[in-house]
Amino acid sequence: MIARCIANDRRAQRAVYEQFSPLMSAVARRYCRRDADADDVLVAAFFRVFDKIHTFTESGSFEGWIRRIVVNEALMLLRKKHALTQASELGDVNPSYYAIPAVAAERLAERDILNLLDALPTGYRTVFNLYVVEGFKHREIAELLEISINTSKSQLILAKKRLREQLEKLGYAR
Amino acid sequence: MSRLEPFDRQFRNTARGMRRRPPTDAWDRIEGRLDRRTRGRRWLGVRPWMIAAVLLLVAGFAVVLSLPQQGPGNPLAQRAQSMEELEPGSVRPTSRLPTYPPVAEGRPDGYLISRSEPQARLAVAPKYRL
Repeated sequence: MIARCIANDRRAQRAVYEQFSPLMSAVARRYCRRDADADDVLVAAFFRVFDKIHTFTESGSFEGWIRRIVVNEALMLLRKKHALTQASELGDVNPSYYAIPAVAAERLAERDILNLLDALPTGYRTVFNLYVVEGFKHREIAELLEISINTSKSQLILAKKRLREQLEKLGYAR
Repeated sequence: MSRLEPFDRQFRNTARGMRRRPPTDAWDRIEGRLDRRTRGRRWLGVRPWMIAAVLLLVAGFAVVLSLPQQGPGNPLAQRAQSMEELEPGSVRPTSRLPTYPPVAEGRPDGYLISRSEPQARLAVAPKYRL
């Protein structure tokens, strides 16, 4: 399938799109509050996927490779909109204070996840997504977003604080 | 992978399993961009091997033209070559007559004296004397 995509076989490209677009559309939506922005990210990302598919090495996961491109496109859009410029750094904060009970996540519905993320400021949401969902380290996040490692950590703590407040409002964290 | 709290791990699993219906026109937009890219590349139509081939041809012509022609060539070409040698500026004027020093002076009675020739040879015949 990948070989046919490299050969610019439109049917193979369509098949890859059909297979991965629902998942990648959700990834894009987690980073972009507006549906239209998420759609733009999806289109730009799949164009890049097919444009650069010859650089994909079989050693890694194809889905992971596409996901990385989608995340990069989302970050590019946020940077273009200057949505990542405001970043604050906390002083001495005990992260355990903002820890969220695990039981809250067990009952968490998918639609609530999007609502919770949408309620977060862009910086918090981006760091939370990159750290918790994508599995990046703070050092990698700092490089990606061109912020300090401490800022990345602060944004994550603040994101969790907000999430805890939201979850309590929704009745999950009781 | 960093160490995740139980909430983070649960959140991650739920979030990564999410699906969203893509917009209906998304594929058309992707296809449109892919078509534009293909047309652009086709319009340019230049591949690296084409550039290399053209450079090789030009270099070959340059080498052939710079080589000196050997052996009997075209007679017309030879003639043209000999004519080129006779172009003005390329030929030194040949003087067949020896340079005579000018007559230095003469006497009032018509007797001419030259510095280089013996006086007797330059003497005017008696019938022409004034």
